Amino acid sequence: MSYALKLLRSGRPFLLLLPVITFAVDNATLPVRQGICGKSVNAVLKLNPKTKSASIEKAFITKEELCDEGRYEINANLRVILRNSEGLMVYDKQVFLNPHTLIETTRSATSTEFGDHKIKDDPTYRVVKFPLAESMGDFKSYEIQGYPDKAVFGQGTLPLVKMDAE
Amino acid sequence: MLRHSLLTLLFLVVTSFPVFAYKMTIYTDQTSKAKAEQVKQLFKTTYPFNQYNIDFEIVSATAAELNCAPDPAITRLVVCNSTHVTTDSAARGSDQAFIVRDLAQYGGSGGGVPVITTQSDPRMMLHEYLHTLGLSDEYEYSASEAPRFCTSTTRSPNLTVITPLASYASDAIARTTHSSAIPWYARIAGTTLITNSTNLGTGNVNSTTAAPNTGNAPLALSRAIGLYKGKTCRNLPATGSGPAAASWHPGGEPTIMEFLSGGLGGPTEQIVAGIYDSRGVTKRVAATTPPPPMPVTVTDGARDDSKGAIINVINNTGSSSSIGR
Repeated sequence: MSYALKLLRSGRPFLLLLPVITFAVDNATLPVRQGICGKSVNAVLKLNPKTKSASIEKAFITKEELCDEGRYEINANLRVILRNSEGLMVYDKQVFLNPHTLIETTRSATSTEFGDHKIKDDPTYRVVKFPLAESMGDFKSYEIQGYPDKAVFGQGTLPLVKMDAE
Repeated sequence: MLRHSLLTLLFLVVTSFPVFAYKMTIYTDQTSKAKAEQVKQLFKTTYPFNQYNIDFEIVSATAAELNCAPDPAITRLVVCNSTHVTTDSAARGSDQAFIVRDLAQYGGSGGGVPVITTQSDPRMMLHEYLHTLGLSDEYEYSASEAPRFCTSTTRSPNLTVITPLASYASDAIARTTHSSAIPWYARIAGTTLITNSTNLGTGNVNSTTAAPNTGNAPLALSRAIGLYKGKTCRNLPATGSGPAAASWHPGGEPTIMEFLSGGLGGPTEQIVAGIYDSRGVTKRVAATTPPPPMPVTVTDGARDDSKGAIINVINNTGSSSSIGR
């Protein structure tokens, strides 16, 4: 008996198709995802509290799909705006990056009480992910504003790095 | 055969729905990676982090890559330059980098990248990560740091600095006067007073520390979310004859932001969950009892119907943290 016939007799094709059917049915009743989806662009955001400036140090374009449902972070203090090669704003995101570094230690190695501590104004960094959808065209430049005061903290060309072979 | 088919079916159904996990990457130069593993386990068992889709990754790094050194002023304090780890974590698709540095000192730092040393309690990492999310310390600041931190514009999700009036004719007047300075104001029920007698404050933060919560449900609130006077700004120099500026918190119990032995406490759990929700971190699908509905007013957000619930949004417009605060 051929493998195809064995497969048909086993009923496995039906079982393999079932998820597709299930997905189609369930998908019809699911709420539409709110996030904007696209290739994940993982940016390194730098904030320098001494000079009150911010920049994007690197932006890695990956093939990983990202549906961004975190565009408006609670407690955001920065707004990152991305523009395409025509200078049009194609995405923006409100994020929080602590401008301070708090260094601290406990009273002893086994103590649970805090002892020495200090607030430093060294630059701080974090990763911010953006979805690059086909409809956006490309990301070319950025502007970083304070939020909600809109003071400009930095702007420039996005230093893009492609991670996967296209 | 049937079992194989069912497993295939289950696999295909599960993978049909995209799940966007939040990825935490812990960099360490400790050969055994033991402390990093403890940190990972702590997050995996601590509410509300244990309710979210979080992938963990432990990555070996050299001491040079971690780039940590004693602070020039207080050598017991260790500070790291996190450029390398943040760049590496972005390249590997991580959302948050952590550093566990193999050093004899104990302590850590929080801001962009949370850092602890291998001699530190792993709970120190939880404390530092809460700084990264924007939360403030709740322990008593020294006379040198308190004036820097405790300013009239200091606002964070778990702390605000307010100079009270000499007295309040009513709770309504206190609310009108200070609501915009309280980031968690939307979480304070209308029946909870933010004054006691004619003074500001639901009460003082008491001495019974909130217990760590390793369960799957939020802590029951032992005291209602309100406005509790804390210790952080006690060492501010005296000014004038009126009440001094003080730190105020949403909860009446000391939390991990004051003592490492403490848990997040009910109010901070809710705040952290709200931050995670606003960052789009998805919840794990688990057979848990849903938390009771919160008396929260949406003030500057919108319904997110994809989550089937109102997003907990704290209105901090006009009083939110800003750079250089």
